[in-house]
Amino acid sequence: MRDSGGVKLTKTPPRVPAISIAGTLAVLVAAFMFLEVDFVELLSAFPAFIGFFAERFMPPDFSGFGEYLPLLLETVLFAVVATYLSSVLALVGGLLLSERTNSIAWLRFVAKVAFSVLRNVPYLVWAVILVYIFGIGNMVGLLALIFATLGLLSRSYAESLNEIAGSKMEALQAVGASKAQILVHGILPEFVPALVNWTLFSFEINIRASIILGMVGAGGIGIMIQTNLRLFRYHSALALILALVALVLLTEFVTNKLRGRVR
Amino acid sequence: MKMKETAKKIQLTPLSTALKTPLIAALLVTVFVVSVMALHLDIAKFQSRLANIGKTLSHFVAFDIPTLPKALLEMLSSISLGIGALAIGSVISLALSFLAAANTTPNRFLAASIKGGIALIRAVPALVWVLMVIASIGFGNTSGLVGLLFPTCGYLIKSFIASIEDKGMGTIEALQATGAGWFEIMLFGVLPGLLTSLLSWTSMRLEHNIAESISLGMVGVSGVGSMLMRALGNYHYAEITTITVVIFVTMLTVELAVGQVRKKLNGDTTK
Repeated sequence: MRDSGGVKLTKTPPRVPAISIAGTLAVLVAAFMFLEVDFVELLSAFPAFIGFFAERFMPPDFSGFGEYLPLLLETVLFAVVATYLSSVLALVGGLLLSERTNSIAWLRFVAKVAFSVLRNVPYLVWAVILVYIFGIGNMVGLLALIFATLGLLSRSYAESLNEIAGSKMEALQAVGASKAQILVHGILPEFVPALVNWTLFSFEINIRASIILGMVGAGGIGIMIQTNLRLFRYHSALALILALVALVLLTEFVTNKLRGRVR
Repeated sequence: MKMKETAKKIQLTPLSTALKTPLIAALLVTVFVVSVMALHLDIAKFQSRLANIGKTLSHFVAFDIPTLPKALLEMLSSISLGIGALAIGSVISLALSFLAAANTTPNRFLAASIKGGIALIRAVPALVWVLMVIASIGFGNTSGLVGLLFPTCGYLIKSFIASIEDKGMGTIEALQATGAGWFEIMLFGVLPGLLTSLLSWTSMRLEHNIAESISLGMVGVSGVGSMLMRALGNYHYAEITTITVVIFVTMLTVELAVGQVRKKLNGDTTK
């Protein structure tokens, strides 16, 4: 193919400089050396896990599953309440972050830094720090969930607001509308589809986070997975994990249905 | 009579929509109120702690320079774990996604079973995977790597498949007509045009992987997460703040770097 008389038949892939390839390889080698992971051990670890899983986790044991149902419900309720609260807070955040709705530069900067700190510290880190400050309890779990999505949601809201505001602002300013009128009648109605979309996305994140947070004492089902694993009750643990899989898949199904209705 | 007519004229929105909005609003409020009541939030305890928040937070306003080298080293270990899992995961994902995408799969049944498996794998949170692996083969970096592989592959295969299916059948049918084999078509026909989007997905996953790998430390894999848990256990406020700052700065740097890489990759495709 290469010798086809100068006519290029294949689309040449974008050129990646040799230096980036070498750099990536060097980083990889350094990473594995730093971890001191033995490749033979790594190769045998995977089948070892599958074997252990097939032998000790399978089949799932659903006996006594009834006592987990309240916890499972609690996990969902946590996600619901947290999604409400964080979307209201994120709406304020989005209005503060967008240059179309907030013309005060220093306030925008402060908001940007604050939401960046929220977003860039993993939620489990927030959760353990919050548990440390407020003690174990479900208010802490709620607060940690709000922390988990507020940063992402505010930024997404702000981006959507920026996209909408562009031409509309000028037209409405030209007819003499006040700032509040522009916001309420011009920007927010068009913002609703994006708002619903992002909020449903944050609900999906919150369901997953709500499962995990129990592991650090912040309420919900997570603690039971860990307890079952620690007590070597692998069959019960698997039953619980399967229930969570069903919950996550059901959530995705419902949010996708809702998205379809909004459009 | 006249009043009614003017009222009709200013009815701007159709009645069905005008009714729908307050109905949805009422439904949303009801769901919220019922959920809050069902949760039995321990607000009283929370308020009592909140009263002392100023004093508690003042403890955290401290920075422990001697912790810094150790924290950075542990952070490096967390980053390495995230990168290592991403490297292995992207190779596995590359192979499996070509077998599973509707336009490139050699066998429909194989494609359906890979896609179904990926949906299941994705539904299990990363931390749960790691806990299961730890239960099976013990604590350590190997467990962290194997555990992180599952969510990494789940994300990458789903994204890769979307990119491959986006390409359609055109090139593939053309090359089939020349008598090229499956492997040749994939390697020389389909893959080259996909390289940028696949790299873009992989770089996006890096951020998740490092965040997950930090969190893994809290459940028993080494790294900056377990260092944070120790500091919390010892009530060492300055250390807690220092580690959190290291985590924040690292994640911010990764976010900005990934943004740059993606910008560059996207710039390539428009050329």
